[in-house]
Amino acid sequence: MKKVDVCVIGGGVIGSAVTYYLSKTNKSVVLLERKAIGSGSARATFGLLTIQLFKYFGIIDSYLKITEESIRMYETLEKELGASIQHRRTGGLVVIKDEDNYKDRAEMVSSLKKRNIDIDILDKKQTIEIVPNLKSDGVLGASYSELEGEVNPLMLSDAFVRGALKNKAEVVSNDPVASVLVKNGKIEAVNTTQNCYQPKYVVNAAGMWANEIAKMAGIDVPLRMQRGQLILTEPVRPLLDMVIQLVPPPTIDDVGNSIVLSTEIRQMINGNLLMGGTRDYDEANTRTTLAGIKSIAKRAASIIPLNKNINVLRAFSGVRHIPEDGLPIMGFDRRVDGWVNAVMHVGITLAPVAGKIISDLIDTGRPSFDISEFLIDRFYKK
Amino acid sequence: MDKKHEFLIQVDGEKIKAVEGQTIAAAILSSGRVGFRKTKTKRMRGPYCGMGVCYECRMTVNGVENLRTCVTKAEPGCIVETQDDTLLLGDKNETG
Amino acid sequence: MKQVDGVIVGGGPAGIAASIEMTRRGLSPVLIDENDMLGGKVLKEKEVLWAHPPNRFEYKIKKELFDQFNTISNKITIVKNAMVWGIFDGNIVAYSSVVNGKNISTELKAKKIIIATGAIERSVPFEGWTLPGIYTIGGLNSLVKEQRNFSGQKFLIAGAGPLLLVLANNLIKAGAEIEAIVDASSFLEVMLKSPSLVTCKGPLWIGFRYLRNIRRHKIPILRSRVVTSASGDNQLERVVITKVDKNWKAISGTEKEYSVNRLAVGYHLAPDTGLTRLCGCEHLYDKKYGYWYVKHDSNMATTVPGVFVAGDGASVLGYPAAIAQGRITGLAVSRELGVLEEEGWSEIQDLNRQLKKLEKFGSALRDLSAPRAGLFDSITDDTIICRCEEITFKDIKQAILSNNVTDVNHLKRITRSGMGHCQGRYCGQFIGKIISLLTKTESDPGVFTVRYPVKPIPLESLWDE
Repeated sequence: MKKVDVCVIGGGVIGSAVTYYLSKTNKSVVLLERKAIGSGSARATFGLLTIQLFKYFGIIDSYLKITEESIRMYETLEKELGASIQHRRTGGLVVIKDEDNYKDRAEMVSSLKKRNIDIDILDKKQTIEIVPNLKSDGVLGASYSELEGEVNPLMLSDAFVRGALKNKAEVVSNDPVASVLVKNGKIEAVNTTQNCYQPKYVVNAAGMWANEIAKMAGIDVPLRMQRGQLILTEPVRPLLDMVIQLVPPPTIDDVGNSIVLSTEIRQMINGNLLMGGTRDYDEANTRTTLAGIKSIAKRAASIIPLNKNINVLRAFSGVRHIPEDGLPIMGFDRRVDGWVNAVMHVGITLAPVAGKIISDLIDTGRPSFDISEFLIDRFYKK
Repeated sequence: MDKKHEFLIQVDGEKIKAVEGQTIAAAILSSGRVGFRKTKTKRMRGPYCGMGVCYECRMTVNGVENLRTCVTKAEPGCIVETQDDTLLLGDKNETG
Repeated sequence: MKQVDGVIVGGGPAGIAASIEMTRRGLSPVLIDENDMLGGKVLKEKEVLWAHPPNRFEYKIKKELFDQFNTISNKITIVKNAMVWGIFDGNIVAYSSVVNGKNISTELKAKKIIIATGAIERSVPFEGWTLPGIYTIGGLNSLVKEQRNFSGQKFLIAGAGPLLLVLANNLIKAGAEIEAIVDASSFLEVMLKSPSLVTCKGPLWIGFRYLRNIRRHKIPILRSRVVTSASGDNQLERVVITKVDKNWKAISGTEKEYSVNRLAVGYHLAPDTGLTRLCGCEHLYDKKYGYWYVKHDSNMATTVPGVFVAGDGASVLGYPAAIAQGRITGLAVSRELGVLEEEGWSEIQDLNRQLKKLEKFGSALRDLSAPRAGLFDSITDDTIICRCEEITFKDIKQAILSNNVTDVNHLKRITRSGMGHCQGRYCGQFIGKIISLLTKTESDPGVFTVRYPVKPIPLESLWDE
C-alpha cells in the first residue's frame, strides 16, 4: 500500500497536465495510466486551440475566462516544459454557409468583442481575402480569431509528463485502475492491477472512461460519447497557414437528427494535411468507417482545392466524451471526500488551465479561477 | 537479347533510354543513376524494396508527385523529375 | 454494392490456386492483384523483358498452375492494377484502381475472402543502410530483371537465406559484376540443417546448381559475416563486412572494407499482415523467428468468420506451399458455400500432408536466415531506424528514456517513427525489438496499429459519386 497525496487517473492531456502542475507543488502525486501516455482520445483529436465554441452553449463568462487563460498559457508552455508540442498561433477561421449560423455567430462575435476577445465577423469578400484559394460557392462569411491555433496532440501529454518526471512525480503506465475502495464517503484505496495506493485525493481525468472510474467509487459522471474520425495525407507543399473549419447548413443524419456536419482542415508542421471529421453519436470505439473516410475526403475538398493525387496515409478516430451541457466537469465531487473531477470535451484548449486549476484546488483548497459553474453538482440539483 | 520497342524518357531534363514494359526505376538505374529523391535533411535516397512498399523511389511523373517509379511503367516521352522534400517545409525549415 | 461469392486478394501462386479450386465448383470468384501481371514475385505470367527463363522445377510448377488457370480464367473476374486498401466489417472489400484516367474506389460485398498478399523482406538497420545503391535482396532481384545496363556497377550481396543465391544467379545472367556473397550463417549450420533441406529435392537441387554457377564465376561466398556499415557521398561507395558469432553479433577487429557501389541485403521474408490485422484476425508471435503471423486452422481459416489466408502472407514456405495453401482455401471456401463434392473434403487433408513436408524444408530455411539479435549490436547512434521520417537510433533512445516508453505505438506518437509512406512496414519490423533491448523489459512492446488505407491511396479515389 503506497501512501500518496494525489492519484491522478488517466494519462491523457488533462491527467498529464494536472500531474505536471501538481509536481510543482509539495504534494506527492502519481499518475496512473491504463495503457500508454496519450493513448486515449488524446491521440485522435484535431489539435485545435479554439475560442469560438460559444456558438454552441452561449457565452459563460467563467468559461470564457479559463479559455482565454489557457490559450495564453500555451504561448510559453513549450519553453516551460522543455519539450516540443508544435504549438502555432495560426489564427482560426470558421467559414459559414448557413444563414442561421451566420446570424448567431455575428451575435456571438459582438458579445465576445465586448469582452475584449480578439475575434471578428467577416463578410464573404473579407473571408476570401484571408484565404484566396477558398472555394467560395455558398460562403456567407466567417468568424476569425487571431487567438486560435493548433498543437500536435500526440506530443502534448508526453510533454507534460516529461515536465512532471523532471519534478520527480511518479508516472505509471500499463497498469489500469481495477477498483476504488470508498468507506463512509472517504477514499480508502485505489487499486491498480499491480499496486495499491492510499491517496488523500483522486483526480478523475479518465476521459472516455471517466464514468467507469467514477462507478468504482460508487458515483458517476454523465457523459455522452461521440466518435470523431480523421484522415491524414502525405506531406505536401505549403498550402494552408491557418486552421479552417467549414460550417455547412444542417443535414439529417441516418437516425433523423438534424446535425451540422462541420469539416476541418489544417496543415501540420511536417506538411501533412489533417482533415476531419464525423460525429458518430454513441460510438465509444475507435474504428473508422468506409462512409466516414469518404465523407471527410469529399468535404475537405469542398473547402480549398486539393490535388486529386494527394495520397491519404491513414484514417483514425477518437472518442469525444461530452458532458450534457457541453461545459467541463471540474472540481470537488461532494459525494466522495477528496474526489476531484477533471473531465471535459474541449481537452486540448483547456489542458494547461485545467491542470493549473485542479492543482491549485488540491494544493491550496481553492481553485485559481471560478469553477462554480463546472461542478458536477449541477447535474444533480433539483 | 529481345527486340522490344525502345524509346526515350526525360529525367530531370536528360534523355534516357527505356524499353517497352520496363519500369521507370529500372530505366533510370540502367542509366547508372541511383539517387532518386532528396529528403527533408537534404540526403539522397533511391529504390530499396523494388516492390512498391517502401516509397523511397518516388518521383514526379508527368506532373503527378509521389509516384513509385519501381511500379510505374515508362512510357515514351514521359517526364520524370526528382522530388526535393526540403520544399515541403517552405520557409519554415523545421523538421518537427 | 455488388455482391460476390468470394474475393481473392492477391494474384500470386496462392491466389491463383484458390481461384482454380473455386471455379471448378461453379463459383465465380473475383481475383484482385496490384500488378498488371499475375503470378506474384516468382511465377510471373510472362517473363519481364529478358529475364532468365525459369529453371526446370519452377517451370513445371508454373506451367501446371497456369495451364489449369487458363482453362477457367474466363469464369473468374480478374481485376489487375487494383489495390485492396481495406476490408470493412469482415466482408466489404474496397479496392482502388484507375478507370478512364480517374482514381476510383470500388467496393464488393463478399461472402468469403481469401487474403493472399504475400510477404515482405526482413531488414535490419545498420549505419548507412539508407544510401542510394542499397536494396533488399528481393528488391534488387525484381529490378535486375528489367535493368539492361550494369556498367560501372559493382555488387555485393549480403544477409542470409536462399534468396541470396537466386539473386546472385540473376545478376550473373545479367552480366553484372559481383564482388562477393556474404552470408551470415555458417557452413557448419547449413550442413547441420541438411537433413531437413533434403526433404525437398527440387529446390535443393536448384540450390546446388546455383552454388555451382557462382563458383564457376569465381565469386567468393563468405560465411559468418554481415554488413556492419555502409558509406559514401550521397550514394554507396563502400561497405564494411565483419565476422560474426553464432548470434550474428559482430566480432570486433575482423572488419574488412569493400569498395562496391551496389549492395543488396536482406534476411528472408515475413508475412505482410496488414490486411489480416485490419480485419481483426488474431495473430501469433513466432518467438523463434521473431515475426507475427496470422492464426489459422488446417482449412487456412482465420479467427474472423469467412476470412481465409494463404501463401507467403500466411507462412513463408515458398511457392509450392503457397499453391497448396491456395488450393486448401479454395476447397474450404467451396465447402463453406455448400458446393464442395465429397472427394474434395479429403483433398484438403492430402494437401495438409503435403504442407507438413514442405514445412520442414521451410523451417530449416528460416532457421538459417531469420535475423538474429546480435545484428542489433552494430546499430550506432546515427543509424537511421525509421527510413521515412529519418529518425535515428539516438532519437529513439532519447524518447524512450525521457518518457518511459515501453510500447511501439507510444514511441510512434512521440518520435514519428512509422508515420511515413511505408506505414511502418520497415521500422515496424524491429522497433519493438529495439524497445525491448533498450528498456530491458520482458513486456510485449506490441505492434504498430494498422489503419485504413492499408497502402496509401489518392484522395480522388475517395471522391466517388
